[in-house]
Amino acid sequence: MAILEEMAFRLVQAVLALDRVAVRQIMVESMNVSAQGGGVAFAGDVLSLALRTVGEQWLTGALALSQVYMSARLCEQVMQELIPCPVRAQGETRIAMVSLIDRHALGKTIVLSILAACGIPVVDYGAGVSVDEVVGRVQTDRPDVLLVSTLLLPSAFCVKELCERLRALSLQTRVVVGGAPFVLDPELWTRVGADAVGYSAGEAPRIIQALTGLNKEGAGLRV
Amino acid sequence: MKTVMTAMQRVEAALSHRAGDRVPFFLLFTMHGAQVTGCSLRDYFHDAASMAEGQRLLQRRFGHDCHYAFTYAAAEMEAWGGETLFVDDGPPVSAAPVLRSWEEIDSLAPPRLADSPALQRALDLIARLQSPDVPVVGVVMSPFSLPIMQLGFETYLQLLYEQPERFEQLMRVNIEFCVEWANAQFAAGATALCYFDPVASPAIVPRDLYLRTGHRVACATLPRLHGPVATHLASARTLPILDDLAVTGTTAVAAGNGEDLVELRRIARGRFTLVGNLSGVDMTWWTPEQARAETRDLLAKGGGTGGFILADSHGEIPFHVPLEVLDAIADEVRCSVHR
Repeated sequence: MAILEEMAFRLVQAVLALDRVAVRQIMVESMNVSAQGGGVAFAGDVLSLALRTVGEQWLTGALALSQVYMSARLCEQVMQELIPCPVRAQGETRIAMVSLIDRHALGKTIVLSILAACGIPVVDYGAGVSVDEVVGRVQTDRPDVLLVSTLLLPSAFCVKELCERLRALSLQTRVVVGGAPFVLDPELWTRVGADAVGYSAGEAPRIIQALTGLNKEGAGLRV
Repeated sequence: MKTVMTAMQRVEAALSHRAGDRVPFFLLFTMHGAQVTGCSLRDYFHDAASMAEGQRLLQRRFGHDCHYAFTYAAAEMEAWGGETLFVDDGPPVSAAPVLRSWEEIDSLAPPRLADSPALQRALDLIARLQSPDVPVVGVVMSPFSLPIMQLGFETYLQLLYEQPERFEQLMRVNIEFCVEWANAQFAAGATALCYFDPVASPAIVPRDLYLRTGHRVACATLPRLHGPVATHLASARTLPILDDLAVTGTTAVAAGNGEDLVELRRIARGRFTLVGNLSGVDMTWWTPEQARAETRDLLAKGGGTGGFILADSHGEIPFHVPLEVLDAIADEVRCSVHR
């Protein structure tokens, strides 16, 4: 097994066991690999692969949502101990996230934890936010990617209005949706006009990397 | 020629694992009642007479086999001091959690039902809907799932994993409230209750954790209730814990969204009735023809020998489901009598 996959495998076992000591040890090892020429992104790749694996196992039914949440939370806490003040790369793509309409923000919290642990800064627009408020924030901030989390079906339908209004304003922000309605109805993201969908929180880092590397005129895609 | 049963007789046959004149079906309406009575959602949910009229109008139109006395989940939170947010096109939702610190659990006591206008309205609704011919189905949040609203989802998960003693204290209080609230509904005339317990699903917490927590809670709660109960996981997965649910005292179990009824029936082995599992999410985009096809499929899988009630998977028909889709479902069920 290549070293990346081996470390990610051990990290998955550690987070699922909620073994903070083991998680810290593995992340220090991966950061040492980075420092020894493994590439700056190596530690982030280990973390991203591990959390994506956890998310995939949730989608297949092997893991529960509580395990995904506790894993992401543990990783974020450990990374905050190891890197209290992450350095922003120059020209970094700006990402924003919102829990649209719904006040329950568990999904958003999990995604934010994963992205924070992977060193991807995100502007949090909060939970229970209306379409009007989101459009206003996007007009001001002009993020490259807006991650939209919903729990209830009516909130998922509101994404359609959100996307239409952003396009009417010629804003280039790509909208990525996620949450229970989009998992229960895998094609719903196309009907609401989103640019992409994530079926589990662990997909977030890969989706962001894929989108920010794309021509913004490109068609929507499932990543 | 088969004798035509009343809805009550049909549902009783299904719960007793006997064949009726046809498979009973539940259309679990909440918000649609406002549509047919011409009320705003806020006004509708604040008036038991309107809610009763809405249920009766819908039952007359679609011919389904229950009146649904569920108002909205946040009504229970109002009893605990919480606020509810009403919107124009979706279910009322609970506002901020009522418990803002761990320490509040230490001195928590269950609220008095008599002090809650929202719960008194629900009891009034049940009383207005009482009938010998149509069952009245109420809803109670399980003590194990209620903390999602009491604490917020994230804080509750942290409690579950990190504060076992406070979790036990919270469950003690919640069980007492649940038992009192459920039995008040039976006393008011409810025929059966949905025991709403989404956190029990292995999609939300792993089975081993459920067995140490929510399963113990269900086993301590359900035997104290004065009527039949259907355990409902709000469309989440049930299959890995069906055998566990069977020993809680539940009379019925609602299948998760997309779960295979044939497989569930094999595991149920007549120990409980299955309810479900038309996809409420998919209903929003079905054509009437698709609705008929899905209904036929589930009727075939659920079987006509009792032990099955056709219903949606979530426990509440989404407001965006067109009435003609529901007409198609109802018509297909009625046509099944003649096959």
